[in-house]
Amino acid sequence: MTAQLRLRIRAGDTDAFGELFDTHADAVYRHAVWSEGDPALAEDVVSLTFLEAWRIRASLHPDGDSLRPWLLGIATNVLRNRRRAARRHREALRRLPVRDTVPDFADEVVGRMHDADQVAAAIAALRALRRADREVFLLCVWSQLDYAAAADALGVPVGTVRSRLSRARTRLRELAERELAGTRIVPVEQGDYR
Amino acid sequence: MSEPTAPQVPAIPTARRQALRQHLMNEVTRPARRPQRMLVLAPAAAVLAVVVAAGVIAQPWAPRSAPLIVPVHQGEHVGAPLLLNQMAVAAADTPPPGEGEYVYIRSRVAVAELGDGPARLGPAYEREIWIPRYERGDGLLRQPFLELPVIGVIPDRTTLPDMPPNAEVVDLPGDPDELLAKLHRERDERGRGSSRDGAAFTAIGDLLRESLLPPPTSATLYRAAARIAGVEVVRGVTDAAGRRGIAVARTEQGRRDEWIFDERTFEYLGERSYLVADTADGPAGTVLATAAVLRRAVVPERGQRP
Repeated sequence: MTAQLRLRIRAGDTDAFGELFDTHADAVYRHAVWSEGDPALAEDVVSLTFLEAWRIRASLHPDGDSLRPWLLGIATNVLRNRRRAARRHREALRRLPVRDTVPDFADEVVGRMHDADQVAAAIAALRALRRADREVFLLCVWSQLDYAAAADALGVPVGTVRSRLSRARTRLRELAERELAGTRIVPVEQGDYR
Repeated sequence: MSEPTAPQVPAIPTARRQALRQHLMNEVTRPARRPQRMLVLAPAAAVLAVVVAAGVIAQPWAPRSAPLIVPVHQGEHVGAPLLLNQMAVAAADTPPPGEGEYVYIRSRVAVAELGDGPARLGPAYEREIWIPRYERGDGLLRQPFLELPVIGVIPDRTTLPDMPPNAEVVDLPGDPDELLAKLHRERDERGRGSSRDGAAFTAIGDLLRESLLPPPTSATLYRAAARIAGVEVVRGVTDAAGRRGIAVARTEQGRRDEWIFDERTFEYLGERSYLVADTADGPAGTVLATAAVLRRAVVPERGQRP
């Protein structure tokens, strides 16, 4: 089934691409929210991720299982180079319908605000990680990709995924201990590590 | 508990999700005009002129090089239809290509990314494309993968699935007025983008670039171009391989696109595109793209070089 979907997408079948969106849009969205904490921005990341996926569909490997790792890999790249992605698709983004700012249901909003606080708190902890480690942590732990899938998604060897994840966990543990001891978390500057 | 657990993120609100999906489907089904074959002509030509002037043949356009600025010469509008009709007559004399299932084109290209201050040309690279000659089918593109976002495998060979064949270009209307009318209709169906004349000029440029045309087809394209308002001749221009030529050009929205031909044989050499007015993308003369066709041939197999 997946193999066929892959072939159809590679061949430029737009219905297959619609299916891909239906199946994975929420996973991409969650990943983007976890990564950035801003739902409006995360929606743009969803659009950019699928536009990118469509652009590079010919490079999709014909065999393999779920397409989620592929999409999360693209999303990770979009998040890393958002300006570049936005530039590449600026015509398409211009046509993106404006977000409706008037919510439908009041209690939904309350729920969302509560969730937003929770997300913000969790993200603050992850900010202390180097970007590359944080990416692996998000993919492996929160998005629950296995090592091989995360390696595929990021285009790095499996060993690298393992070592980054282990470094992320060590750092998070240290931070938790330090926090217990009342020390302030000092975030690592973004981009100081590749 | 040392590890933060995944916070709950509500799904995308239904209405918004629908809107995003609809937008995406519109984008992917949008009738792209020969998407795989477009060079995205942006800023390459001026670079060459500078290089040639300096007598240097090395690559001066490193990724972070300064913008390439070329002198903007006055175009000559009156001479353009004359030149194009002369070219049409000369085209009728060229011998037709041989037999083979694929059309092969190798070119040298450099383009600039726009939207981030003054446009700077990216590094020049070689691009090879195999286009099915007679029937719709898979083509092949070989070019270095220049983008940084590396997703898994980096393809330097990309299959171009279900590509329109070269024959589709050959089968265009043989009457220049009919051809122009067809290009105008296509522009009107898209309903956006450049003016009707600008769109027709761009469409003909796309047809000339990566294709192998029998002389009568080239002649029709030149005659059709001669009828486009605003077409001009620019002399003393240089393609991406440093070859001098004469350009058929058109300017729209501060940007001039040139097709460059050998001044004596009228062989298509390449093209370039640059700003003719000061804009956010750079001052007048800033090169947005430059290209040179190095080889056009017919080959028996996809991926095989002549």
